[in-house]
Amino acid sequence: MLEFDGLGFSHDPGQDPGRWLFRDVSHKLAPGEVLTVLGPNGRGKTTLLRCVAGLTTPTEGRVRADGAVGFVPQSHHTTFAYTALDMVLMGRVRHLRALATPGRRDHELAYGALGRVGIGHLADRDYPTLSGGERQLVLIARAIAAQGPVLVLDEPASALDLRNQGRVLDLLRGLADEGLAIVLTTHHPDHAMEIADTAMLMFGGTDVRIGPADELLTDSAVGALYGVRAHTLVLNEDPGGAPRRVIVTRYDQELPS
Amino acid sequence: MPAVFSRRTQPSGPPDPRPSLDVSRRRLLGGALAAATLPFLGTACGRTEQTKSGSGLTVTDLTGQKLELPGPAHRVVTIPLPAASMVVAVNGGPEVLAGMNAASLTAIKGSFLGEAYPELLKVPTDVAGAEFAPNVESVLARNPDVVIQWGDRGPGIVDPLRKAGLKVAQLTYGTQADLEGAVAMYGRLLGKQDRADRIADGMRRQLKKLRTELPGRAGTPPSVLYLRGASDGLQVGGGDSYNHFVTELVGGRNPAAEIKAEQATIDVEQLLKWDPDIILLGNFGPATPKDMYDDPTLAALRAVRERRIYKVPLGGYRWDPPSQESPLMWQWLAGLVHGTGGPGLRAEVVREYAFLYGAKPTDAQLDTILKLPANSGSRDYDDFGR
Amino acid sequence: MTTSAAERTGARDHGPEPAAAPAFGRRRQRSALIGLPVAVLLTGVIALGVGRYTVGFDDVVRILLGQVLPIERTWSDTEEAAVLQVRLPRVLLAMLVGAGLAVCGAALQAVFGNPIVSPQILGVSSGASFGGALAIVLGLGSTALVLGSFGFGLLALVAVFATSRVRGPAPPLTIVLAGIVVGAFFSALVSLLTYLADPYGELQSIVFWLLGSLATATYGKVAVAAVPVLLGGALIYALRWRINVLSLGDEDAMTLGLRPRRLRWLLLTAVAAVVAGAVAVSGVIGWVGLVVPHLARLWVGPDHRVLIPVSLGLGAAYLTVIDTVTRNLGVAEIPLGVLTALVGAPVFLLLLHRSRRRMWSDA
Repeated sequence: MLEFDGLGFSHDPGQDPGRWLFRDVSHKLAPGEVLTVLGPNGRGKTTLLRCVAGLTTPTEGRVRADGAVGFVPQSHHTTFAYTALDMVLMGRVRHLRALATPGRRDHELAYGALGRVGIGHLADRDYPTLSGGERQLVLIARAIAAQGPVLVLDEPASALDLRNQGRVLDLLRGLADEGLAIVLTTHHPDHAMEIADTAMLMFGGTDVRIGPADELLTDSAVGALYGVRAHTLVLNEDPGGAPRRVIVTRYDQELPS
Repeated sequence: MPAVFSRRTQPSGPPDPRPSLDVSRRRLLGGALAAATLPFLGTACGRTEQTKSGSGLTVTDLTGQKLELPGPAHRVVTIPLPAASMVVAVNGGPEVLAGMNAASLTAIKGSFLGEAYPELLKVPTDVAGAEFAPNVESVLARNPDVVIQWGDRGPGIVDPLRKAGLKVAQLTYGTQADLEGAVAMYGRLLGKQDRADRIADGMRRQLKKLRTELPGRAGTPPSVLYLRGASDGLQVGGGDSYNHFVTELVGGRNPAAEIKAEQATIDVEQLLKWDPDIILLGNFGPATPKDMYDDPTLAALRAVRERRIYKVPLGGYRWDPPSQESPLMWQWLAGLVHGTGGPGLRAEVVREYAFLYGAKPTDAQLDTILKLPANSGSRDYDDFGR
Repeated sequence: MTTSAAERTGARDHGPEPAAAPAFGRRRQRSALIGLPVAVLLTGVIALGVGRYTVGFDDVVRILLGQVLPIERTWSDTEEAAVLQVRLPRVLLAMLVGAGLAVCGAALQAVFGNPIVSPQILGVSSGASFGGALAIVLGLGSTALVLGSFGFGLLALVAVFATSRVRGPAPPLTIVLAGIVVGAFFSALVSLLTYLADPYGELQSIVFWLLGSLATATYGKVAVAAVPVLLGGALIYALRWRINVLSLGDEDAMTLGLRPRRLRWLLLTAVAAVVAGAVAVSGVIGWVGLVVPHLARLWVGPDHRVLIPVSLGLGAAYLTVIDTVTRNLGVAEIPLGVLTALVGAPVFLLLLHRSRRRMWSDA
């Protein structure tokens, strides 16, 4: 369970009411719930995630979690060239006593997590030599190995190719189905519609809308959020299955702002 | 001009800019040359380089440079360490010393010279900083007729004094010739030619006596190692040191002769390997024979087993470097090397000090000068010199 | 949902990776951890066998064995003194100091997330030497020397850390600059002390001590160094895996559930203790703390679980070898610090040039 109540963040709280990056954001995630945060660049998505993960102190409001919040940052670099396995092992630090080093079970969990994100074969590769997408997968594996009840990911699919994007979405949905509460940011409405139970649209300042993903994510809402023209397509991919709704953008036309 | 000086004579050129390493190498040659020619120098040293023109005085310093003074100096600032006590000795009194190096004062404090002339303890010591760099303004404030400075450590410590309009007489260091040259130079600068001659004559007489009267010994001469006296670290006097000269003079052998330098740091194993018969502990540090006798690492040393480690005396100045008291050092060491105990040395010290410093040391002062307390555990040192 | 069910489970069902064939890197780590103690021991015995005073190597072995076994005495008192009283404490001290400085270097590089720092570069050595020099000038004993070194070494570390992290983690250059400034400040204080000290009493002691030498090694000094070096070293060793996590940066460490501030203080205190022990008995010996961790990282990779013990062994062997060379090269002793710099600086340049990528990703 993860709950945030009346969250607000401003670099300059006392001065100008318009300076709030976001304000009055409240939501309560049940175990197994996926919340997707959408919004244009610079509207405070990352700041919101950092507040939720406890890395940034919000100007207003508070965050409560039923345990450790795992955080997967968007970009990441290390000074030393640890192997992917060593990186994932570090996710176990919360579960080890102060002077202990990881044991057999920790190694098994780390290998399992690497396998789960589909990069078991990269276990002995040096982390800095991996591609950006592979590194993101390592960090997700690390968060899995940490076995926390809440997972917060900052654009987890941003550096991934199409196939791996699918894998990660699938993985996150699977983790949620196992009872994790998950918060992620993305710029792809499709991703949100694929896995999210709840969506949050950050229009800026106090205008932050939260609701069920199917209801909130419409072409007009997405178009208004990003200032583009968007259309809804309905696809019947599997003859017997339910049709799928996708939102596509016309890249040659901007909405007048 | 005697051969010994000609190697340094640079009549009107700038001071020698070469680094001191080079100087010390040349000094080795000079030292050997000096030891060989000393008996023939006679009294030439004291007279050659002085010309009186009217009431003015022209003196050639040990680097061969001439300086002109209106008359004998009455106020002298000394920057080299041994210069302070030597100036006082040649002058026959402390009143000429207008300033000295702080480290000269540490040698005077608690020594016989300090007791003979308590006023020396009040002489300002702010005239030089680290590595003999002069504090020109402090020197100027002392208003000296002449400043004594090293002449073999580069122009950097001399030129600032000259540029300030001061007269600088430069010293060179390390050999017996340098020592006699310094005595002669002070004699001329201070107008105390007679006293300088008396000191130099005494040195030459003692040299001749030691060379002719010391018993010839069959076999290898005893080895004598000089350590500067630091309590941590073994700094030895090498083949270029004055201590080497003194050891050979009295018929000993310096095991560190192979080190072609004035001093070097060795490790304990090298000491074990040399295993000298006698070890001398200098006054450039607080180490005592007892320290070495008590050191388990040194227990196997011959000099430890035979109790032949001695702290070098300190009277008007340290006896280990060259000074006006060097003839006493020679006799002291000869007595140790030959096991004769230096009979009459105490009387000789009294006589010499009466002349040099105008005061006769008491028996208790003699014990302090000859380091009887420190050497009480060493062989043949009871009532040394009585 | 369009992804096929088979693919979905496929991604999820990757079981634990078979650990049957360990990777090249891990094989290397294993061989290093087994081979290094043997190599250190051998280095020690060989170092005991050579010196300016000639003792046959068989006699050296017999003297050593004779301490525990009833062996007929075939050697002289002097030979025994040379091996047991002169060389053995010196070799032990070289090992303690070398191991301690190398481990400190590795720990500091991780704490600061910066592979180009070392006790010397960060000014810890200067701080420690000021503390020690102060104890000498005040005429205090060896305990005060160690405590003084410890206190001011820690102060230097804190100063560097505080100035280099005004807002968030500092870029490597800022840390190095802060270290240079702090080091220069304490060096100036040492100079001030030497100016005030008696030139033929304490001054000589200070100058000789600061030069960096193991020439005056005794069992007393071994004991003085052993306490802080072993205590601090044991703490760093015990925390070696957490050092990995800390080296990722405070933010990463925090999200993983580590309290970076507390761990860092523990490590900095341990480093200050080890450096104090080393500086108290041997003055400032540079380059060991910088070069050895790099050599070790090149050999076994950056994982501190292995890097810390390998740095320890490599540092012990390295300083023993260098010290053995200094005491055998000529009649007069070459200062140890001179040789560690002469060897360390080119080795470091070579490493920097050839394998920057392998040692760290982005400095």
